[in-house]
Amino acid sequence: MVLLPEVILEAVNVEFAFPGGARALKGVSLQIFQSKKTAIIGPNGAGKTTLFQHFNGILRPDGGKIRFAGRDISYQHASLLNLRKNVGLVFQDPDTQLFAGNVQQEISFGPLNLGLSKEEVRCRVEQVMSALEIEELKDKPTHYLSYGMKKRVALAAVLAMQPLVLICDEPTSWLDSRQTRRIVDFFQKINGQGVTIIFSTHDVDLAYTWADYIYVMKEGAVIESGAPENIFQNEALLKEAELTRPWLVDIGQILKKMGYLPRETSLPRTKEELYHNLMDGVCPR
Amino acid sequence: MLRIDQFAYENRLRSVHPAEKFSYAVLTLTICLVASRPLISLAIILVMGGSIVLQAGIPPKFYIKLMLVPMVFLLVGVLTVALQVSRVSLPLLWGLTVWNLNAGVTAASLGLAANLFLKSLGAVSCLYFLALTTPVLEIIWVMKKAKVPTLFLELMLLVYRFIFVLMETASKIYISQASRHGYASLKASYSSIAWLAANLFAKSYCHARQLFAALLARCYQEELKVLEMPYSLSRKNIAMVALFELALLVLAWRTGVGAAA
Ligand SMILES: Nc1ncnc2c1ncn2[C@@H]1O[C@H](COP(=O)(O)OP(=O)(O)OP(=O)(O)O)[C@@H](O)[C@H]1O
Ligand SMILES: [Mg+2]
Repeated sequence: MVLLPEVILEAVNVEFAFPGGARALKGVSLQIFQSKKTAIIGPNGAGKTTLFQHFNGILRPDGGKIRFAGRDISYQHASLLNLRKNVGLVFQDPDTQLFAGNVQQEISFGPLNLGLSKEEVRCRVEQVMSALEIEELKDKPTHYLSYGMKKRVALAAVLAMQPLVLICDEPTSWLDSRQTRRIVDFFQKINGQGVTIIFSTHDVDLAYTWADYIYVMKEGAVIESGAPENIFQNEALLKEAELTRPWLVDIGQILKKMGYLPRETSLPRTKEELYHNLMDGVCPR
Repeated sequence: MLRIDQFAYENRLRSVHPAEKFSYAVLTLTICLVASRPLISLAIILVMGGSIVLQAGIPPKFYIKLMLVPMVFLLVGVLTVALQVSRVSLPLLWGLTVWNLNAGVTAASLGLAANLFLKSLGAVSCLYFLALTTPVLEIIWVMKKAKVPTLFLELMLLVYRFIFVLMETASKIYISQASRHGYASLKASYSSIAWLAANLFAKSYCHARQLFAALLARCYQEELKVLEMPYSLSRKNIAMVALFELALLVLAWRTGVGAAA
């Protein structure tokens, strides 16, 4: 018997059109499992950002509903506050998120809104700043930071609220490879502590290596979902969603064809796994 | 504008309590305007200049350039005050008579003009001191402590933040237009500028809405709460400010408050 992980967030047939008339979501249904890492991928304009803004009640569906922890979300003031406390959303463009004068104050905004004491807030601010290596920016005004730094500050500002579910809209775009690595490691750490992570990305290698589960969106609908190795070996799907293949899938398939990896093993998910399989004289795990 | 803001974050008086800098600037400004004595204005210009260049470490060249900005407007204004035109004969120091019209400067008008000129420069130097040594956020913080209404202060904060967003957006659009020869000819420049203005408005509106959404996402409830910075007051600074203001007052009193003007 398989124990299914619990569904923490769920979109049921969500329809949404912007006032301008563009139908951004056309009946989206998907489930987010607790303590898992879910990637949402798809071309520009697929509706990823719009969906994320539904998950913490910024946008309200025209049809269908959003469920959190087994209940339909209510759009009353108090329940929205509670939802936003538990579901943190990091915006795609950090400039739309940052408003305060300096980095420290920016990060303190969310926790202060939760009604925490000043000491507690100060403590949380210090914690996330050191975790994301931005302590030296603490007194800097946000408008003198580089884009990548702003990105990290925006993330820190949400993390300081310690949400149960962290939604990141393209967390690694514009970051250098070291910072990308750091953020991924950091996500890994909080995920290990039980935080559910949802992220959108155009980086197929990141989605392949790191996500537990993937939803592929296109033109306002979910067109496929599944484990990364299934998604990225589905040629027709990759073509339809205009996705490239992760390099590990490419290499894995070639090595299999050439006989360096046995045909019946699953493809390596990480660089380390690939080396391992090759070195170990090809034993399946 | 941008450079001033940068200096506000990186000057040698950065760590001084903002309330001390604020009261130094505002008290001196008040005395300068109320006393209205050339001697006092002159003293204020010199002392503020000294504070800005020697204490805060602002490059003198930059400061002189800043002082030249109001100078242009001032000279025009002051000239019209100094110049007198009249039908009756005036005790002209210098002037000419055309037909039966006398035009020129008198001792009184010259004195008035000089006083106005120095008073304005003195006031401007006080404001420059504040702008160059104290970030806008800290000025807002001081005003909050002084019980200025929160709504007003939050507006100030957002306006300040938006100035930068607007400038960044404008420069991005400008660069993208210029790189496609949008400013190659005069005609192209006109249409590019028109586009820039229209786009800037649309983008800023979008930006404002998204910022509001992002604030909501972090549980915003009618007040922008952020951690306050820990500052400590320095007795020495307070004493120095008090002494200086006192000295100015004594000087003003000795030369007769508001007698002229
Ligand atoms: N504020 C808005 N007003 C009107 N239409 C919008 C607005 N925001 C997005 N749209 C439209 O909604 C659709 C979905 O946009 P969305 O931003 O959700 O896509 P996305 O998957 O996040 O794309 P990207 O990968 O570029 O971030 C697009 O067709 C877009 O043009
Ligand atoms: Mg998006």
